[in-house]
Amino acid sequence: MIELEHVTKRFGNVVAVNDLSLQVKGGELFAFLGPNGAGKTTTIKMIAGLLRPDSGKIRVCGHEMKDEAVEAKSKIGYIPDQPYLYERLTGREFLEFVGKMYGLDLALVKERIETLGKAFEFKDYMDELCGNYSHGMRQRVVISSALLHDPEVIVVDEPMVGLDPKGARLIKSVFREKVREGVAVFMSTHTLAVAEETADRVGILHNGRLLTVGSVEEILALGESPGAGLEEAFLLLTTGESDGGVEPTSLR
Amino acid sequence: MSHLLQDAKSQPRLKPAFILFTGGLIWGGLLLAFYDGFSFMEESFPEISPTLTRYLFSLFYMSLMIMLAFSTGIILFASLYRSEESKFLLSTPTHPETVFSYKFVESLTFSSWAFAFLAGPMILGYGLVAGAGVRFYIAVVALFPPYIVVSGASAAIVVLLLASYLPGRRRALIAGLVVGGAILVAVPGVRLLSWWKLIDAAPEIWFRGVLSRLSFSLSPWLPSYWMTEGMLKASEGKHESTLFYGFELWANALFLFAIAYFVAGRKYATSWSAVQGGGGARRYRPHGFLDAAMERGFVLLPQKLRILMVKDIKNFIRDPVQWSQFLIFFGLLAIYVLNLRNLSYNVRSPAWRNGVAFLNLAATSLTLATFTSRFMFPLLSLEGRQLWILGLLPLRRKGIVLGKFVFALTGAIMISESLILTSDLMLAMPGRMVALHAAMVLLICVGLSGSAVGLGAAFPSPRENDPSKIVSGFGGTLNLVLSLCYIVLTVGMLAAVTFLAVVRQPDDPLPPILWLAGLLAAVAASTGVMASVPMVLGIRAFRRMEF
Repeated sequence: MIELEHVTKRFGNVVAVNDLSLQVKGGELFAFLGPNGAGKTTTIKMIAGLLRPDSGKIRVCGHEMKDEAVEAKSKIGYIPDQPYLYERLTGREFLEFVGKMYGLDLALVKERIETLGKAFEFKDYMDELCGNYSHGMRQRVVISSALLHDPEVIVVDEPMVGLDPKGARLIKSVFREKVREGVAVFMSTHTLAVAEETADRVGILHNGRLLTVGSVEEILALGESPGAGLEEAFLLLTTGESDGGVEPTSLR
Repeated sequence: MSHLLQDAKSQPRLKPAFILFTGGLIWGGLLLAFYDGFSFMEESFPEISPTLTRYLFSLFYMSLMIMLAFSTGIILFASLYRSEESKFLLSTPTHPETVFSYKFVESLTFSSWAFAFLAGPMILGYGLVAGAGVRFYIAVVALFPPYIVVSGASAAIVVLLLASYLPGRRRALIAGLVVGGAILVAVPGVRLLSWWKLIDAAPEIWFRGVLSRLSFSLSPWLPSYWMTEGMLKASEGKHESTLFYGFELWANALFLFAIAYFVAGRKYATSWSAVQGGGGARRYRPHGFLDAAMERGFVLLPQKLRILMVKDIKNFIRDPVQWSQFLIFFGLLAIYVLNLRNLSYNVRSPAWRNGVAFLNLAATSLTLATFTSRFMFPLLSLEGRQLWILGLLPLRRKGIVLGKFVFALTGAIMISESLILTSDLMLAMPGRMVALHAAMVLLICVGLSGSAVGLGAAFPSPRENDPSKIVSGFGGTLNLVLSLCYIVLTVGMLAAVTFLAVVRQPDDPLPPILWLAGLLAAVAASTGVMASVPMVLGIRAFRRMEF
């Protein structure tokens, strides 16, 4: 469903993503981990077609993003890390706008908005302007907009930010359900517990390079202490001399 | 400031060079025009020249005062209550009045630099004709800062009080300000128009009547009067009087700023909180009139284009800052056009009516150029942080830019065609001229919309939320200059044809069909270049754009 072949992206002299190759199949939840500035959001934006790689190829459902962007984008549901919405549209108007732009019939859009509004509990404020929403409310609307057209691929950047525990639990169960339906979910997160709990495979990115890819069990096995969580494996792989190695004690 | 300088250094050299060149060109042209105008007045009407100059400057400074107050008020409101920076600064251990002072200076600088730039040639032109010495220029430079502070501080006090006592009624607030502003302009305008139509009376009586109706601008209670008198006395070498008016301005400026500072200390923090909580409860009915009207009214357009247009229209009409400026732009022109019969222009000779209709077309086109530069150029930039939504849609990017073009064109045609057709009907123009004017305006709408949307896509500022800051950048300036040149070219061609027709047959100045066809072909050709080149550049740039 998602294929990245030797993808490189530079911003000036900085190499944000370096020769990245990956595949995520349908019915799989892939968690993309990495410290701040590792290149996760850049990768996700390239998969969503918002950024263009300097070299390499990205295919979504067999459509190459460079040449068949419209076809590829029609298969994707994207949830950004910052849920910026049109401040002067209501939640319902925004969802209708997105649904119609994906070519859905208005009756179907209305029906899905009702279902999603109920599931994500934003029905009560659906007819108020998005400019008045809290971060969590916006996040619920953006997630609904990504699911509205029944995408075959879901690309998510930090989905849990701003969500309350109930919302976070709902998201996790929605993603698992989508995966069961055969959807490919590509999720970047800092919340290692979420990755551990939901992911089928995990990839760790550092300084734009993919350090390792494997199932959760395989990654856990990289840790030194048996029974330790993803955190230990993550820190072991990503903390090097180049990071400065700040010890917690030095902050006291 | 150091960041601004660094930014300037990092820009390609072409950009500052272009800004300097076009700025210098406009400034030089204005200086020449004002110098010629003042010289003409001085040589042709030496007896009344001082009186006329006094009226001219007092009206100029009064208009400046009103425009500055509105402009500073609108920018300051957004800056104090909507900006992320204010939110951050209020969370730090900084006094609210300090944050206010900083934002006040920022807003005032931003709203007044253009006025200072444009007032310069007028003052310099006058100074050169009057043979004023260095002290005159020093006096003007010393008088200008307190003058703009008086306008700005008055606006700031109003903004703080309104935000404190009407926090949840932003729309009503801005609508009230617009209506208030319109009344402020309309009342003296109507008084003047009622006398203007007696133009056939004896010139001296008529002239005195016009001046008496403008005498409100010479009220000694107005800061614009102090500014005018201070400046004129300096040119006459009466420096004691200049000092008097200067002290009057400085004293009032400091007093008004002290009040604003005091009100900010008491009200800013609480009103900030109230404004954030205000207006949240309003609910909008889904599938309202607008959706239905767009579905039916624009049925020939592709569906996705209609959807994009509905979104843009909703964003526009729900933003009072945008539509209030739009109302000011065209409201005054509409009042004028609807009053053409009150001026008895429709019963005048065909040559006179032709001239007035031509001037109306020129005024509408110039206003339209400002409108497209102010509202249509920033359309893509204003998508701002929401650009990811458009970038993500399964839609060719060319379609997005074309959608903005159709939106801009539709708005421009609706407004300008209504104005021109009303103007021609009021002037009882012959059908051939009505058709010519309608066709000209249609072409001008295409040219201006294409340039504004195309250059807006080619030079986007998606990180900027404030449209007035977006249009004052390189792309916005380039668009404005090109739009004005295009208007001068196309309206100039129309002027030539209108003039030649009057010379050929003064009693029936209808240009022959062949002339009209030639004129329209030439305008269509320049419109083609004006619209297509920026659109091609804009589409290319938008295709390459990353979000």
